[in-house]
Amino acid sequence: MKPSFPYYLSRGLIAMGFGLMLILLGAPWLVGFAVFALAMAWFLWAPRSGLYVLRPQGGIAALSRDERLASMTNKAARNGFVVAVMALAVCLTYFRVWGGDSVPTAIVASILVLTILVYAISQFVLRRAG
Amino acid sequence: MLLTRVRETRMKQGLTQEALATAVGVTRQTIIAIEKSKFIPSVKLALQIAAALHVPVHRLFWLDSAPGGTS
Repeated sequence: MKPSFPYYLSRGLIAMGFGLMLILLGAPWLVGFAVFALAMAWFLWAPRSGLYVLRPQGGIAALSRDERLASMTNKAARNGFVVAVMALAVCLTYFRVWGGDSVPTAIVASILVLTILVYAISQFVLRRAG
Repeated sequence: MLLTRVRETRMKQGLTQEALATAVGVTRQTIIAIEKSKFIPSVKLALQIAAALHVPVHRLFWLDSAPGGTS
């Protein structure tokens, strides 16, 4: 089973959008093209990866998660959320009580990066565990 | 722990993992995980698998606290 033409068309437009967005933000055209190529490669690989349920009649929404993938994604998101909330609580307590100031933006950005890392690592571990 | 006879039943009927996955609307990886008892399916998915394999659900899944499984 393969996705239908609407799926490939929509994903091609999305990949082009990613590349164009980077170019418009000032990135070299080569970087924009590389992002487009990577995004398109992922969209071409995803239906054949076995990671998603494939419904060709779904058109642009041909791929969907099954309950196992949804369960893993939800657990990973929960882990990221818990880490984010705890890290923010610690930082708020430290900077307000002892620092006497608000949490620096750089710290908040680091917490966001940490949250994404926890989410990605959780996904990886859960997929490996089966 | 949930034990299962999905693999044996599927192979007896000559079904591939891919075919069973397509029949119940999940990925092949999910069928693999269920057969290895690494993923506990929802009631709905368990019933769908049993229907696809034409066997009662209690013949496919049982708790390991029940010695010898269900008969």
